[in-house]
This record gives sequence, C-alpha cells and structure tokens, in this order.
Amino acid sequence: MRSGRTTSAFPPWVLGGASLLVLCSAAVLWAVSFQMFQVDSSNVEKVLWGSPNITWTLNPELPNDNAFSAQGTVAARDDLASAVSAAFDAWQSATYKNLQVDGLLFTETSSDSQLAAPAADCTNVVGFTGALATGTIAQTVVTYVASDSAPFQYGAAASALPCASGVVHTCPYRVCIADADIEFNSAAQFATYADAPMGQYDLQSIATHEIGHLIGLDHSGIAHSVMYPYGDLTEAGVQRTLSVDDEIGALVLYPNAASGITALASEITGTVTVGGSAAFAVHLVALDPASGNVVTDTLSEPSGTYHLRVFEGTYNVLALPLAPDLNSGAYTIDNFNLFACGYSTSSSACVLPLNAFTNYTGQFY
Amino acid sequence: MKIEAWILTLWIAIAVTPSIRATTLISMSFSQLTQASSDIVRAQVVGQTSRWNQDHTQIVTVTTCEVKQTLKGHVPSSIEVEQPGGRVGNVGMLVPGSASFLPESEYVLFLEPPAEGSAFRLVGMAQGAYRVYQDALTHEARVILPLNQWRLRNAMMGAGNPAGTVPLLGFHKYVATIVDAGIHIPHGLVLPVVIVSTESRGTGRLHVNARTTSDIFPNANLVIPVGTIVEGDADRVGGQWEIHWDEVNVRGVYAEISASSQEPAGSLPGRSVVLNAR
Repeated sequence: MRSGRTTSAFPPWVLGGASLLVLCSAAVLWAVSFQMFQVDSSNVEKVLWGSPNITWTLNPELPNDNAFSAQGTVAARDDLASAVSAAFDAWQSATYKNLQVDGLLFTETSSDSQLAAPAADCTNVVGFTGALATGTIAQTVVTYVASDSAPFQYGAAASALPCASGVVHTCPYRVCIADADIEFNSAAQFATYADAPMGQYDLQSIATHEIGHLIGLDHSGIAHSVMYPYGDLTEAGVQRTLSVDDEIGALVLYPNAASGITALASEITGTVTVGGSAAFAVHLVALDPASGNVVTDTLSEPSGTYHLRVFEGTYNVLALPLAPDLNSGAYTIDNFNLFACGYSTSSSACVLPLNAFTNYTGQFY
Repeated sequence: MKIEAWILTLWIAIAVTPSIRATTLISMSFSQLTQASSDIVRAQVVGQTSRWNQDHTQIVTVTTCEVKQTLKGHVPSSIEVEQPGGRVGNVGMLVPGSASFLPESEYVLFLEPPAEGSAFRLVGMAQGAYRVYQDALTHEARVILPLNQWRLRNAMMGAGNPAGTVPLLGFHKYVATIVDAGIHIPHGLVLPVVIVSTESRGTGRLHVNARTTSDIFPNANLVIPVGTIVEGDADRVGGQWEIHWDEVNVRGVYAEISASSQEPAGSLPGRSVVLNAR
C-alpha cells in the first residue's frame, strides 16, 4: 500500500476483513466528523441545552469600529444584529433528509445596559472584546452546569449556577448548557457585506461557526464544514450555510424523532494489536471504498479498541501509526503521504497514486 | 484525564493548511507565532488550577510552569499561563481552541502579555504550545510539530526528513534564527494607529507615540499585533503637523518603518491615523 521509506515501528494496515467492516445496505455516505463537547473522557455526556428555546442579545456597546457594512462604513447595530440573526437562522433551520432539527428556537432580546461577556449569568451575549489572544478571530464561552442525577434545577440564588434573572431552569439531563457568550475580537476586522476586501472576516460566517459552539458542537475536522476551526489570513472567509457535517451534528444534539438520525449509532469497532499487545492511539480512518474519500476517523484507546461512528454502509478501514516509536505521540508526515486525501475540499480522492497532505484534525476522544 | 489530555495535546500538535472557512482561529505561521510572542520559553507544567475570576463571572484555568530555558524575552523562573475555561465544582466553562496541558510535561510556550493581571496568555490559543517529549529509544528531547508544518520541519531538519518531530535543540536554533532575523516592514503596509502620547522636542516639534488598533497579518511571515508601538516625530508646518514615522516595536523587537502623515494643528493624542509604509 505504501511506497518509499518505512519509518514506523509498525506499518499501516488496511483492515479489509469482514469482521472489521459494517456491511449494510445503505448507500449514502457522508463525511461525518462533527464533535460534541465532552465534559470528561470517562463520562461521555452530550453537553446541550435543556430547553432548546434559546434567547440571545447583542451587547449594547455595539457597534464596533472594526466592523463594516460597506467599505469604510462602520456597521450600525442593526447591520450586526441582522448578520448574527441570519447566522442563528442557519442553525434553527438545520435539516437532514429534509427534516428539521427538533425545536431549536433562537430569539433576540434587548438589553438596556452593557452586559459583561463572558459571564455565567444565563444571559447569552454576542459582543466584541479586545481581550482575546492574538490570532483569535472570535471565541465562544460555553458555561455548563452538571449534577450527579437528572433532572436537576439551577438558576436560583443558592444553586450551583445562579442566573442573573433569578429564573429557575430545569435540566433534564446530568449536564446542561446554561449560558453561552460569543465574543468577536475587536482587534480583527469584520464585514457584514458581500465582496469585502481581504483582511475583513465575514461576520455572519464567523457567527455561524460560533453559534455551532453555542448549541454544543466542538470543532470538526471536515474542512468544508462551518465548524472547521481555522481560517486564512489572505482572504475573507464566507461560509454562511451549514455543511452536511454541521447539520448532522445539530441533529445528533437535538434529534428529530423522524429524522432517522439514529443511523449514526452504526459504528465500526475493533481492536488493534501489535505483536499481540494493544496498540494505543492508532489512527483509524474509514474510507468510502467506491471513491476512496475519507469518511471519518478516530484514535484507538489504550486497550487498542476503537469506534468509528458512521452511517450504515461498507467501508475500508486504515490503521495508521501515530508515532514512529510508539511513545512520542506524533504522526509522521511520511505516514500520511499515501492517505492524506479526501479531507479538504481541494484535496484529491484517496485513489492511487496518493500525493496530497492531510489537513485533517481528526475525531479524538 | 490522561487520554483526553493526550488527545488534546495531539490537537495542539495538529494544524491545518490554510482554508477559507468560517473560523475562530487564524492559522499562524511559525514566524508569526514568534513575532507575536513577547516571551518564548521551554517550561515544565508543575501545577494547574481552575477558579472563578474576581467578579465571579468567568472560570479561568491557571497553569503554573517552571521555566527551563528562555528563548525570547525575560521571564521569572516560574510563570503562570492563564486560559479562559475550566471547571469549578458543578459548573464548567468550555472554550474551544484552548490548549490542554499534560501534568509534569514540558512545552515550548509562545507567550504574550496578559490583557490584565500578571499571567501570560498563549499566542494563538492552542497554537502557542508545542509539547516536548523524550524519545524512549534515544532519550533525546524532541518537539512535536503540527501536521501541516512540513515546511517548518524541512527548515529545521532539512528536506526529506520524515519525522513529525524535531530535536529540541534544532527547534531552539530555529526560533533563535527567526528572532535574530528581526522584523522587516514591507512597503505598502497599511497600519491603523491611534496616537496615545506626545513629548515636546522643542518649539514646533514633538515625539509621537502611537499604538496599532488591530491585528495586522500582512503576509505569512509577519504579524503586527494590536497595541504595537509606533513612534515618530512631528514638525509644525503652517497649520498642520507633518509626522514622520520611523520605528515600530513589535513585542520588544524594533523595526524601521518609513511613513508620513499630516494632521491639523492641535493636540494629537486620541487621533486615529492610517499609516502607509513606503
């Protein structure tokens, strides 16, 4: 499968055996790499809103001098509100197979006073700040409250998380998001209009990404997804609509009973061993055997077991070494030369000869 | 905890090729990370604690590190790195993009001054932490590189070297090379600044101090962080000030700039000016 040097203590495998493949009838394959927030590794809980009726407010300190509605024109508060509102709408209307997410409803509320953001006060604020690290375009701070049992209440003055309003909320799960604040970096430049010059980020696109965090999604490794974490410096990024990966992420968090989203429960599972011993942190990649495109990936656990969440279908699975010496914890680029394909919108499909570098960050639990 | 930290460390190690997408982070080049850092250190994690801030509005996590070596800047032997997020009791805050540190592990940290307080921040969030490990076979200290930084690897190790890691020594030398190379302001660079103060240099002459008002990434090898100091001299000519800008201080590294601007007579502090470097 590979040519050239072999630098790894254990080579990559192509796991083609039936025991490691899910052989089902569904033909549609999507690249699924969305990530949900996870409170801790030993206790996998979705981190989501107890009630999907979510209110948000623009910080009255807006507008910001680095946000523009036309070249050289500082965006008015309404321009900003309009862009952010449209971003919320994208998630509210997220669909999969023509079925909408269940009950996500975003409502803008007004506030008369400047609101601290981020603040764990059960008020979801969208604003600008000058306190972000260099290289940060925007940041979402998601506050959750946890309990040993479900349901539980929070919001009262004496609870684990008092809400500024004093309103008591009921969390039907053991973990609920109670507050999420979005902060745009006031040291970056934003635009609310089309064809903005280079160096200005499309505010609606950035808001769409941040709202993905607000509802409980972490970053995705799929380059064409809204939840992909990195941007580029030389061109304004415009991606206001959700990818399939984003939509499925929203549906997993807020499933519509009729959506058939439970198909995601399908998984490829197995154990990777080297010389009879469990191999930890092996990179497992599921490929669409027809196109060669990467569908999803994961890392093996210390026991060597792995779980690849996929839709029903037939896949090839690659097991790739994570490190040249089993202890260093680093991929080698050489390991990826043959398999770095299908991850980005511009990379080639995974068919021989393979020559693209991966830019995939993977699904890591 | 260990798995999560391990994997999050891997996240740190993995970067991506530039892409035009909705984002939270700018994928910073190694040069940009170095320039945006006031201090770069090799340090070992010796403690970590999460706590509410003074206003009880936000949870922050402070990681205490023992400095083993300073590659840029001047820092005490023990430093604190503060990141937003963490968990206190039954309340937690999640901030995607933050770095996760392995207890007792060593990192090369790219640090910038805090907005307030004394704890440092990581430049570029998780991008500003490179984990150092000791190779089990050679016992050599090595640094894990992001996946997409194969050009960086080539620069440090020579083309064709397959390792996704580099010796710590080579990493240090490369940082030193970038620091020593200094900063060169390209022609045509546009710098928005606000004048913060002036000092009299005689009749009709002022020394002018300004600070940049936004992060500027002119090219893949340069960043001018917000707050960068720009200095020049102003001469009163008729009814206006002729200001000649000649120096930029990027995180303690001085660079020459050649730009001029005119401002109506009167007090200069507080005025916004856009500089065009010649």
